[in-house]
Amino acid sequence: MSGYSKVGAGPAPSAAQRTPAATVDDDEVDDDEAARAVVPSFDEVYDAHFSALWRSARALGVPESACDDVLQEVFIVVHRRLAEFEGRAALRTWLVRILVHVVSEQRRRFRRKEDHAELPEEVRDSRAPGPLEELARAEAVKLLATILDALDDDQRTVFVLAELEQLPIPEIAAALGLSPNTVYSRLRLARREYERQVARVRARDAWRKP
Amino acid sequence: MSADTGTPDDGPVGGEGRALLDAARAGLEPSEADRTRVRRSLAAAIAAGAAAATAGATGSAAASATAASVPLGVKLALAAALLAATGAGIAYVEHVVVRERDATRRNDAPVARSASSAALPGVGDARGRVAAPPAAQANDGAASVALDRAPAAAAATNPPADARTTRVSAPHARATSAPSLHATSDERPAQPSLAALSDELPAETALLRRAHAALAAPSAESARAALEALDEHARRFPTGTLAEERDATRAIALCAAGRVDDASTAARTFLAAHPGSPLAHRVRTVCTQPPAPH
Repeated sequence: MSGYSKVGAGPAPSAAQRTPAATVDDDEVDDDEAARAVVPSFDEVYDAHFSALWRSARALGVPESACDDVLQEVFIVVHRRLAEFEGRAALRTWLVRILVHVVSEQRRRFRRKEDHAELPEEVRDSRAPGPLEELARAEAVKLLATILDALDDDQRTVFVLAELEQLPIPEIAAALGLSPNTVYSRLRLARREYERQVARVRARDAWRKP
Repeated sequence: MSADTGTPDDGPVGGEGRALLDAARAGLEPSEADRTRVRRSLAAAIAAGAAAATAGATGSAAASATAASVPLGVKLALAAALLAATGAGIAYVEHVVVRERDATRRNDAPVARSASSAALPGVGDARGRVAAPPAAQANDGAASVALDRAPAAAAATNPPADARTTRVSAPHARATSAPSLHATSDERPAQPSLAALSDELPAETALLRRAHAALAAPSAESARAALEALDEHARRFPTGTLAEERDATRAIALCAAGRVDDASTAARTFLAAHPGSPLAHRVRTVCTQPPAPH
């Protein structure tokens, strides 16, 4: 998490400008200074974690059209609570916890509305990969979405965090408020189901290795 | 291990399954446009929340919660409180409605919801604290305290470098706050600083509120107090988010102070700069009504 290291080095005035609580009282400047040494600024959190959170949201089944709302919701919580975060827990764990909560709320709404079947129609990317690569990516995204949709929500969450985001089991457990054992057994089931779906897809010949 | 040869129960996914994950991973990344667009709407939502927070002079947890949950509603209330006294209220409110509606068109529901999700059980549990109110209060407190401080102190938190940044970013955020689905990484490379925006809007709002509160009293002296607040706003936030409102209010305040010529000059300047402003009518008719006693 690069956010941690950057903050302490930053010039005080701009740090004060960016930390909402920093203007409370001159007497507290020193305390704030200490806090800032641990807690990254909102902008830093945003820059460092936006991509991963967006990607996770997508993989957790949030339709692309709803990603803006989900990410905004996540970062509003972050904005409101960052000052008291104090670096006591791993920042990433905290963010994942917020994301999972927001996504599960969002899932509930979308299940009701029945329009969560939307699959990404396009892969927009300013890095402009070649058309073939882009196509392969889009195909992979679509296919992965189909396969993940076959998992139940709990398994899917654990699977995405472990396999796509490569988070360690204890961190996933902390983020989800579960015991590592529970996470592990869900993950095992999820992996099995995932492999089965991959095999099925291959059998249907609907997908070629990118 | 390989998925091709049958999968053991344990261990990470491999083989084709892994390849699919890796390929999809790249495709799931947000584009620069996604990143920028969300940041913009966030800036708008947070700024609206921050402005609303200063409206509640009571600063109670309840008020804060409301402020955070209904930024649009509260901003409207704030706007009404701000300008109702001068008769420009309605125009201003419409102005804000339009702006806010655009800004929050895609977002108002989630923002509203986020107040409750701020009280995330999980998040609160981990900290062993009550969720939203303390955080909200802490921030609101910071904002209001900052506002109440002497101008010099507040100005000190706006070193020139930062002021330059926000001078560029604030009006931009305002002009383009309606998030477009097809936004727009080409518009501007630099992104508005959320923190700067949410720090400044409360201060801007407070100054304008001070001006309008002063204008509510029909005396030349209170008109001068209003002008002082507007001068301070002009000094600290020359192109701030509420610059348009400030300039309109200045024309009104000059008239109230009995400086009719200055008022017409200010009005002309304003109308030239903001011909389509919702405040234009109010400004155009400035000093055509019976002047305040002085």
